[in-house]
Amino acid sequence: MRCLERKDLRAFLDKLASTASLVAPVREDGVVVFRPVPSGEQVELDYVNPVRSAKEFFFPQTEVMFRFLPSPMASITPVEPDRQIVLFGIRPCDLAALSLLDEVFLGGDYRDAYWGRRRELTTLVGLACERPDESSCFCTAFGITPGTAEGADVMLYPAGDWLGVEVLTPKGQALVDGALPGAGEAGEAGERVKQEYLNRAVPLGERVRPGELSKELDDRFDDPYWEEASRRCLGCGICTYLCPTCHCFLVTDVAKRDDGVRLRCWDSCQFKDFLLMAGGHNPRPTRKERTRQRFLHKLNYFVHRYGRYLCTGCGRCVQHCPVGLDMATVIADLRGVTQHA
Amino acid sequence: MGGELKTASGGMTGVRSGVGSELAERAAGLLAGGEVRMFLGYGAGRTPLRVRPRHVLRPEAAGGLVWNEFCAPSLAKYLLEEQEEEGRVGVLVKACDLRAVKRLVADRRVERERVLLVGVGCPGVVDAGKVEALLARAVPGEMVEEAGVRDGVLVVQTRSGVREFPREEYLLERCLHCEDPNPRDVDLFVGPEVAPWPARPHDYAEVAEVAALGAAERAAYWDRQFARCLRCFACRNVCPACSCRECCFDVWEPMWLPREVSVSEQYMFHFTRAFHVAGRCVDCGECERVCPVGIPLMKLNRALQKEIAELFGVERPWEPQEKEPLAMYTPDDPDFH
Amino acid sequence: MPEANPMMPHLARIEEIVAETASGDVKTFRVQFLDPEVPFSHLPGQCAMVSVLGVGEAMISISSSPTRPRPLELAVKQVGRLTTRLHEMEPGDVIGVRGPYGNHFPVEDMKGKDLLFIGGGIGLAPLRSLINYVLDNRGDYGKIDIIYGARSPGDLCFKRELYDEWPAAPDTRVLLTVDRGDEDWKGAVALVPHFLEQVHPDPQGKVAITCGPPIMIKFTLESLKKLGFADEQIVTTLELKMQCGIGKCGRCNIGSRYVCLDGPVFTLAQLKAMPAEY
Repeated sequence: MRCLERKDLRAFLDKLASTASLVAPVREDGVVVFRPVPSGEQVELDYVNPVRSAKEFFFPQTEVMFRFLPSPMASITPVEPDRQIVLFGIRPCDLAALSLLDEVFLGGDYRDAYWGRRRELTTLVGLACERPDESSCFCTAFGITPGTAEGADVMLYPAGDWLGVEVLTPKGQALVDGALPGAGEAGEAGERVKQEYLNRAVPLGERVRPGELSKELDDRFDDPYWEEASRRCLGCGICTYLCPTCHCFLVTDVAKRDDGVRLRCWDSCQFKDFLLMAGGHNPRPTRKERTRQRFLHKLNYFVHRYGRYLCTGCGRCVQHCPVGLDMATVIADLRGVTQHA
Repeated sequence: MGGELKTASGGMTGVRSGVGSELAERAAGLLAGGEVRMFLGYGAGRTPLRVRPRHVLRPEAAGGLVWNEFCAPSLAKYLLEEQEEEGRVGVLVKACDLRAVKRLVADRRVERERVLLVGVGCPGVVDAGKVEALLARAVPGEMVEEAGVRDGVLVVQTRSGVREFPREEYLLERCLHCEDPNPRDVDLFVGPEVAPWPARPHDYAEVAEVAALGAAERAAYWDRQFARCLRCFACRNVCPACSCRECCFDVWEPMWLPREVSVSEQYMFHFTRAFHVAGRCVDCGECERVCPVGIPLMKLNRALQKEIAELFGVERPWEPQEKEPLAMYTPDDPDFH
Repeated sequence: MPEANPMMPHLARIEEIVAETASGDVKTFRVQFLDPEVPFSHLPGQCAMVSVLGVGEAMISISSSPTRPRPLELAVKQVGRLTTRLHEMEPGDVIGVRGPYGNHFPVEDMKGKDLLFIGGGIGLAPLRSLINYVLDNRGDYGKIDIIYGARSPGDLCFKRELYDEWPAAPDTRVLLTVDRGDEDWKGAVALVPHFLEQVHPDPQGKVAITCGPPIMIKFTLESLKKLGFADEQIVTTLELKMQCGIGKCGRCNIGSRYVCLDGPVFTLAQLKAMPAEY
């Protein structure tokens, strides 16, 4: 592991910004979001997690899949993502979310070209969590810790006036070789710092561990809980759109007479028209079915398909659901445990 | 670190939260007596700063109801969905929430006789988002262990100490403008009436501030706000003036609003929404409160409110009007030629 | 990237359009890929994602048999935006097609068995692919009964096959019914499930394959149970809204199954193990 003085962090970011498009957390009107930045100066370093997750840099809310000349003449011109970016400041929960979405987009018989290309074009610089939010972060419920580096190309571990710099991939090596040529070795101190992050307790995560919940849910499709909990749902898309692992999309064409684009856009299973069919039939007509779908998808269906929970405990739904119908609450309710200390 | 907070000298002693069990008893009585099939109130939330809406169907479950300074959410919008089922629904309303219910009734989307309004005097509610943001900068990561109001000051305990927040700092913005904290014309009133406090006038200062920017700066300001928009529709879904059976944003043929998220579509969404609720917005601020990315939506609503107040001489455009200025026509309309 | 991108449709020209019903609300589109090398080989029951560029995409079941691979045939009922646009198109117009997607009817497991087809309205489209496949491999399968119904005689699809081709095939019966007859109609007037009970097929050695509107399927399944068919002997297809067809968009799940990948063909035994959310 290398070592970077904290005072040199902005210079390091300047270097990154000078060689590729740097995307990093910034504080904008009091809200922290990932934004392209021209230099290290604008980067916010004092944050828990940007409110919008990192998924949109790989799965944009609106993606142009190709251009076309509309039917009946019809011709197609492929569009390929081509912007190289360095994404700085991604947290372990969002890194884990990318690996879950790799399973969806890159696994199976069909490889998603857009996700795949954007993943190739991006170098991820992770940042271990100095201060997880005790009331919303719960990554440890899913085996992730404030220091889990899996999926990052480079991981930074803040330690007082310096940061440990761990290189995890050849892409990361190239980045560090270019931007931190003279960095010293962190030695044993670096390993110690990393270990501290890996062992750090995240209280809410300890309280809402899902355990065997996935199996139990095989038999709880008809549980009255879904009806009861769903009554307070507003039917908005905050949870699904902030979620780093939600990935539902729709495909839509936008066309003029002689030019058009096929788009894929985020969609949400919480919207009432999500499954509304052309003939008017809707298999999930009420809040109950839609609420159940969201939680069973993450806690049961996905586990059947991919062997993992589709949640990384980032806590965004916990923080932002206006009515407290969030993952930590629902796990606590379903397991009959309390999420409060 | 971002900010310094004032440490409370008395610790948590004497901090009051909640007004006793009267509400729970009344709700249980209404349910047991069959006067309502459901009671809409508040239950404890995930932190002491927050509550969550609670739909109570059985008298035994009424014990979980709370009423305190953290009961910010308006429950009015739930009435829309609950009307789908037979029977009468009891709902706890603050004075501001009552305006929202009146809105839904005036728009003929909720039948007044199918609602039992239980009013409560409100001392002003805590803007949890604002307080959490202040705490996050001062004591990052720390969980709120206890919170309550003492002598008009919000006292919050976290691991590292007890802090206090003055009224101006913790109150939800709508409370600063509140003219009468006691809902009138309700079916029942629980607890004591609350003495009004000096209300901040509706002077539209926040509108003037944006209006004072040059055109380019103003465009940049809104571009930046809307660029954060998720198009999650939380603002619409929580809004008591957004009660169309079918919202134009959900119509696919013709597609008024493509799912495409671009600057122009964001303007289309937000401006359409603001114009559609113009003259009917009750100034509850719920849209802005639930927005996860901090878009100052009330600036749009207030800008239109201000126009309506000035054009039509409406004194309190946030109150449902006897004669809706944008929903009626007279030959002496200044625009009539 | 274009070759490796499963979301990219292949352009295809409409060669011929056949109105199947008297009202014209169902049409068969015979299409050829502009590039004859496009790798597209399907099995009965599979679907294709059809694009009208400028309108969007919809999943359509393939009604031609793989034994008669080109042109590809798609029978489409006009129900929504895309199908309406498609119905306005003319021979020579170009659309997009990608796929084939989904599983297929268990043509191997069905070998040596008698087959009972029960179709309603446009639901005959995927069955037609299988029927022609079976007739083209006639020696592999036992007796064939085709029960088919529609609202009125004019709503029956694939009339040439119904009236001429299929009844003339060896050991093959076609039994038609309509909800409402007209003066020329000599056949049965009954809802498909009732008609099925009148026909009273013996479940011994049979597989029943049913496809049609949801309400017909619901009652047909009940009738088949009454007649003594086991859940494993009953095969049906599901239709759900889809966007990608390749298990990414999260739209068409029923429990942990995706209709686009694990369906559209399910046995009743499989359906019973899934939540009834379709």
